[in-house]
Amino acid sequence: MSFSFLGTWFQVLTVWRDFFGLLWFGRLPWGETGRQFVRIISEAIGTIFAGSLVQGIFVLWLAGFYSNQFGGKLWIGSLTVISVIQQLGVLMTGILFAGRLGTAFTVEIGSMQLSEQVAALRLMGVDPIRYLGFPRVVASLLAVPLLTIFSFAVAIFSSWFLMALFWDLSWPLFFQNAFQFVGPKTVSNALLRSVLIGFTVALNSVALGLFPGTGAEDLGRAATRSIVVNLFSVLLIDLFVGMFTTAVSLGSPP
Amino acid sequence: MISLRDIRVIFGNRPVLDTVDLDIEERQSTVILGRSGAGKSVLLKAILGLVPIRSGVIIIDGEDLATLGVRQRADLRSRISMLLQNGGLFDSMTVYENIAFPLRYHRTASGKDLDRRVREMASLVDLTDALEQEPFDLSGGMRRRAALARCLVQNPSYLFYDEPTTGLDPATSALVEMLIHRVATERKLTSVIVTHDLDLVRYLGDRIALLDGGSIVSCQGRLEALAPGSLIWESFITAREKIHLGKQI
Repeated sequence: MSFSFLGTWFQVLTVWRDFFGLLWFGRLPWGETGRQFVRIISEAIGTIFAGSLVQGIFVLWLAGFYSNQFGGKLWIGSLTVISVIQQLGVLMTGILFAGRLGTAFTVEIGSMQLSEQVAALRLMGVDPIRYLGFPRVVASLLAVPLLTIFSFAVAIFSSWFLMALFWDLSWPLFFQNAFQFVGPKTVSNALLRSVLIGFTVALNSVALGLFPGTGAEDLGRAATRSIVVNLFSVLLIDLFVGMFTTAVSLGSPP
Repeated sequence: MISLRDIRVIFGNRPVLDTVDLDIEERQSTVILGRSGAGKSVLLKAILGLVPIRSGVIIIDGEDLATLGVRQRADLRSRISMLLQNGGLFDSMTVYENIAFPLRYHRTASGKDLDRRVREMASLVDLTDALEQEPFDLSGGMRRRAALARCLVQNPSYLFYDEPTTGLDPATSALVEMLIHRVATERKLTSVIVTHDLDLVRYLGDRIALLDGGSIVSCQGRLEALAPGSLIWESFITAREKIHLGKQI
């Protein structure tokens, strides 16, 4: 671990500090935030759809395979739905968002930094964290939960649709017990994690983009660092927030 | 007027600027000469706060930057604009949107007034026909002129130029030189030009400063600075001729 690596982390932390600082004064670029929101949804939706489709098929196959061995086909629906909503949907959306948009944020802002566009912003009295960071972070914070809900829907419906094909079961049977273990707490827990993932991934990506080093090779490293840091962030948020909320609500209905 | 006293800038363990003292007189063109890597661009960026200074005093229009709050410092610096070496145009916007950006962001103009000011600036730099183009479609000279228009639309009192003719062919360089001269005269601007282009020095420099070893080693009027035997003459003009002569031999 070199000092330059620590230096980068120090710089990333200063961006986090400055981000919270800018919320207290001045005008915020809501128009650009709206544009980024539309952009995130339109760029991520295809990837999330494909990933969730595969996830739905995979979970259905796994749930069906083991349920079949114990004669519990009736529970395929509940197994699939609880797996997707409790854990896999949030994780899948977070990982795909980090790979698709998080890295794009880092490279986009990094190349703006290298081509002096960020310096031009500063020269015009425009705070780059306010103009480039805020819209991406706030748009991600709002878009990731929506993408997560979309991912739930795609995964659950793809499982439902293919159930008859894979396990020779009727379609109504899937929904008969599907939502038995899913309650408001399960859904709100999943959405809380997705909000935190959207916020953290976007802010890390912006911060790493603002310090891309001095050339193309350094920008490549910043992009790699962005994906690694963001994947770990997604896993850690999912783990710790999931553990915390589960522990807090232990014994109460889902 | 901008006064710099004992400015020190350090990158890592390497001092880039070491006790720089310089007075930039109002409504004059000060050219800062120096070899590549001498710290000329760093000096401009230090004045603008883009590069942190380790120590020293920057006084702009009689106000010491160190004694001011963040907001007042930003207001004072807003009197200065800078033409960056690569122009720094936003590649996701057209030339029109680039020129309009500071007006739109700071809400200093809108509607017809904004349109009038953008077109006026585009006409000044002779880019009226390129307003709907994106920076990627422009030549190097056009990109710099578009960036100059974006600087001028903010009505600065000081305009800094970071190597404005580097990488341009002689004809385009001459056009940019004439434009800088015209803009400085018509708008009564104080210009600071960082370069190692001697034609630019001869054409534009009212005062010429030589940055060497991290310090300003000479700062004189054009006639004295370019007189045979002066430090600048010896460091630049004679040195270049000696190198050329050596090659011929």
